Amino acid sequence: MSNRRKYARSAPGSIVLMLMLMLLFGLPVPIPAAPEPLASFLDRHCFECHDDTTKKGGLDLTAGWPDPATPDGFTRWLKIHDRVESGEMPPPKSKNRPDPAETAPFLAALARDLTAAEAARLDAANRTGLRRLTRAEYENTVRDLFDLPGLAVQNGLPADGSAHGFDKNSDALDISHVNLARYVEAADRTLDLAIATQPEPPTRQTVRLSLAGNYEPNIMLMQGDAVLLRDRAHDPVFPPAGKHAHINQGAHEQLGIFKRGSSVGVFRHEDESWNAYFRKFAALYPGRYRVRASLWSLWWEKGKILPARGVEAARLSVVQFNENGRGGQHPSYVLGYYDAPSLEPRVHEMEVWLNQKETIGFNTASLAPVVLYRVGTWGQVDRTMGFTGPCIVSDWLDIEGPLHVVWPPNSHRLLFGELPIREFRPADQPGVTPPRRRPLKQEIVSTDNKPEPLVGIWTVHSAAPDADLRQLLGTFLPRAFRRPVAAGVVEEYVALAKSRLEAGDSFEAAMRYACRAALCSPDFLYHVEPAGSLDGSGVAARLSYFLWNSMPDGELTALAAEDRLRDPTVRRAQVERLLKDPKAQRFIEDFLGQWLKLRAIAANDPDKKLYPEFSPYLQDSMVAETRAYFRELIERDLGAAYLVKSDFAMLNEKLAVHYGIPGVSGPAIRRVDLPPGSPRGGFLTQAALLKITANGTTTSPVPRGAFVMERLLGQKPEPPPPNVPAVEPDVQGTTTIRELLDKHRADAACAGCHAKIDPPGFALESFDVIGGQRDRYRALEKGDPAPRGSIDPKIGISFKLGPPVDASGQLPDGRTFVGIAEFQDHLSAEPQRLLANLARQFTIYATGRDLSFADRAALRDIVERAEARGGGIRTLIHEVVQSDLFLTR
Amino acid sequence: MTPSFRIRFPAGFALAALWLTSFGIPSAAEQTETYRVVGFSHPEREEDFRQALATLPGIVLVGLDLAAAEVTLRFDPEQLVSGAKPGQPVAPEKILEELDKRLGQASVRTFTLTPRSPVPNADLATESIPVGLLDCKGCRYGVYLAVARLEGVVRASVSSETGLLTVWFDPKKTARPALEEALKKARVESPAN
Repeated sequence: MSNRRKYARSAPGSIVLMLMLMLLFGLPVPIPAAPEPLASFLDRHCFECHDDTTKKGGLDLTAGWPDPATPDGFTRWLKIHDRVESGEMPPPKSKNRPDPAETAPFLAALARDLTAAEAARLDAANRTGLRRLTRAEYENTVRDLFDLPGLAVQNGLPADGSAHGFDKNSDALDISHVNLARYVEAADRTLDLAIATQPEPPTRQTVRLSLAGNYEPNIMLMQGDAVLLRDRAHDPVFPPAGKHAHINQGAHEQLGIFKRGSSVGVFRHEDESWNAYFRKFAALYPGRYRVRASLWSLWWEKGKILPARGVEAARLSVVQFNENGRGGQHPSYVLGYYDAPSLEPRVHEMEVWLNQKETIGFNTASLAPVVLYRVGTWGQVDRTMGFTGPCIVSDWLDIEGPLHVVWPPNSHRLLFGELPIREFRPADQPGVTPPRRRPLKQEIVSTDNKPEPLVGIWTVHSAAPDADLRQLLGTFLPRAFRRPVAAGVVEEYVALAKSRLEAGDSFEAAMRYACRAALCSPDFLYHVEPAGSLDGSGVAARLSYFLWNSMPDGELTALAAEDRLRDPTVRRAQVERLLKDPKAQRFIEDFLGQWLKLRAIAANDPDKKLYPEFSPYLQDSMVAETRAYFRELIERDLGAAYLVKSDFAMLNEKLAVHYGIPGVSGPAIRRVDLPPGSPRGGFLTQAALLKITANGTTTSPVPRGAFVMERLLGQKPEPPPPNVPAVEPDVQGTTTIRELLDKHRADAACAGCHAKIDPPGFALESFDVIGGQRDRYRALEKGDPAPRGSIDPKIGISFKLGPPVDASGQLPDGRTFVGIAEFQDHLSAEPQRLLANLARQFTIYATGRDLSFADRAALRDIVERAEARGGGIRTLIHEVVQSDLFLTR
Repeated sequence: MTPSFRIRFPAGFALAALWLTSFGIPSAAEQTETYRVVGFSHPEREEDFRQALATLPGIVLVGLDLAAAEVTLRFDPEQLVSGAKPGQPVAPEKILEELDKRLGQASVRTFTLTPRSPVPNADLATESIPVGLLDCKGCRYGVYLAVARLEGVVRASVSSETGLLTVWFDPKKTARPALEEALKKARVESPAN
């Protein structure tokens, strides 16, 4: 029985009348006293500090018993429950601490009331609200549905909100006319790509591209920031500039000097003013392409080509041109960082999906991100021939494709099965409007690749349109909707298509019309789950959207149809299969992007004066480390203590140098055993998280502490009280953040929360805004000269070393630490707490809803079962999937 | 002019003449004309010119005088110029325009045909300007371009051996200061640093 009903029944009519009158005249309404055994416990242990005179922390418990059925009352009593349960209250120093025998009935009674209040508020059968696909889910779903793995539609959809830490919650997934308009566009774009419009596949061609001959690299060659090479020596036709600068770029281009297929050695890192793109190619036919690149490196010693300082890293990315290519371009995504070994070209091969107008970009990732080279420009003595430094060489880049294993492609077959593609002849189909075709043109002006001529309009042919529509839609709709579809629903879509046929559309256009409607329907856009226990399709969808962030594949769908996903053994096997599949990387990226806020990695750029060594390569390496580490935890089923402390790290050379760990060469991320005493490895000290929790200029223990509490320990700090000014950092080097915070904490209103929030942040003061370990703060004005350390010699240093870092602190329970190592020891000693939080995060992510007070028992059960099986992260995922929380809507 | 220029030219011309007599007499409609060529910045450009011309059907190289930067070509005007009427003469400027267009396309506009200079060789002035030892073909061509199209300049040549740009020009129309100014505008370092 809810408290609300309890009070209603116990209140005589006269009291109700009096209360109504008091409300009417604006008089204070007395709140009923707490029922037993709560009242006596509060009286004995709480009123001393929380009565109407002391009101510690602004809390007066003698003022009455706010109804737990109200949101405010529920929140207040929940807080009291949790503080007492954790032992935080009554405070440890209190003379009148209750013993467990006294606390237990208090907590049990309070839990009963809270559970009852919650049960009345929540719809037990539909805990997960009806929620639409997130942007990422939408894109992955259409990619998998149509077998178009590089289809890019996500950026065209409005951004999703976030609730309870993730964008998968129905609270965050609102929908508006803007969404609907964009869904129509996305469906059209998908169908444009999915439908084959020619009888044979486009010819597979291989083009060999050189960096030379492209607009930006030509400028770099003329300026001397790059050189032409042949057979690992100077290209005699275009020798490096020495006494004389090269003049008249146009004259060189007219003579074809940059089009001879020479290798290009680049001395300069990309920046706002220059990027190197292979502009002679821009994809015309979206699809899979095989890309091969020959890369190596050298050390340039005033014109001499010597062995490189190690394995350099070259970045290749996919770049999309705007308009006709003159208006600019933007990197779509990084393909990867590739070894450029010393003096030995290495050919890297990868399969890439290219959309229209996309090409490949190149960057000398491991070179210093500075613009001080300009070795060939005017006024520099001996120009390139006088320069000494590292150089990364691109011999050539081959693009082969489009690669079609079958024709028509799978995307087309999903829609039209085995119907033949024939030329549309108006005479054969009087009164039928031919399907619309936009002539394929190469719009990018700098390119050499052109479309193949295609004569006529080619489209699918159906001899029995009604039967074909019924059969094709009967196959398509269940795949698109991720569950069985009733015959009546199929008939509705068939009727839609037939209406277009009757209006004179071609079979292709009619089918497209029906499919577009399906892709814009709630059945496709929403996770449609039955109330209560999930059926087979519901479990299949939860599994695949949890671990692939996408729709179920054929095997899951078949198991759902046979109703075998209720079998725990089958579910276990499926979790193993899904986690081993490359698509599990989507889960890792999406989950970490939100749980650890990796999506915000580029939210700020570190100050260039304070952190001149920062580069995009370092940032991408940070993200790669965190993802690889999480994958390692899952694959090896490592325990929760590894979240904060580890004896290994996932590093490449860039990060290893950043962390001061020797013996790592090249850009590939790999498992590295850490030297004794190294604080690296766990999430807590990974550069990505340290950057995300800083502001680009300074660090503050407050946001970092709050991040650790909320994301790793599962204790969301209270929001700051209103009208409290933020603590402004001092980059001049006069005052440390700890000194500033000490003043802040002198305010009693702030001290309580900061005693909990600040300690993790204090421990992390050993790390700067880009995750480098430090003993002293960097400052711009006052301080001592800074040693170069591992910073590239080409990078100028202007920052100074300011006050020393104090990374010591005290946890709320009284345990102290002098630095990060002891803090890690404290946290890793509580693996259950870490595991419980991760279980909570997994469950919220997988079910699309927040966990209620009543779910705590189920969550505890998940954690206990995981612990009983070793407490590994993969085991935890299994236990989440086996739980009622996961299997119930 | 470099010594190799002087030696190579007469031999090339003689060979071309021999080729002509060996392989036939021009048809009645064919015409042979000599033009000035802009683009011979240095001796290695002869090969570029020959390669470009070899891609043009119906235009035969009769003679090439690198020293004078002149070429003699044989062609059928009726075949060359679209719209030409059979048996009727084609205007010389139309022929030159078409030949220049085709040669320009074949050489990425690095060679241009113009009418022969009306100024006799004996009346031309010569200036040699130090431009440095340019070992880059593109830069030699760039230096050449800086002066080649100036009014009064008949021909020019850049030597990577002497580091000199030599210019032959009509002294009534231009002079050394104008040449130096043009080089400065083109960012050619003179004297070399």
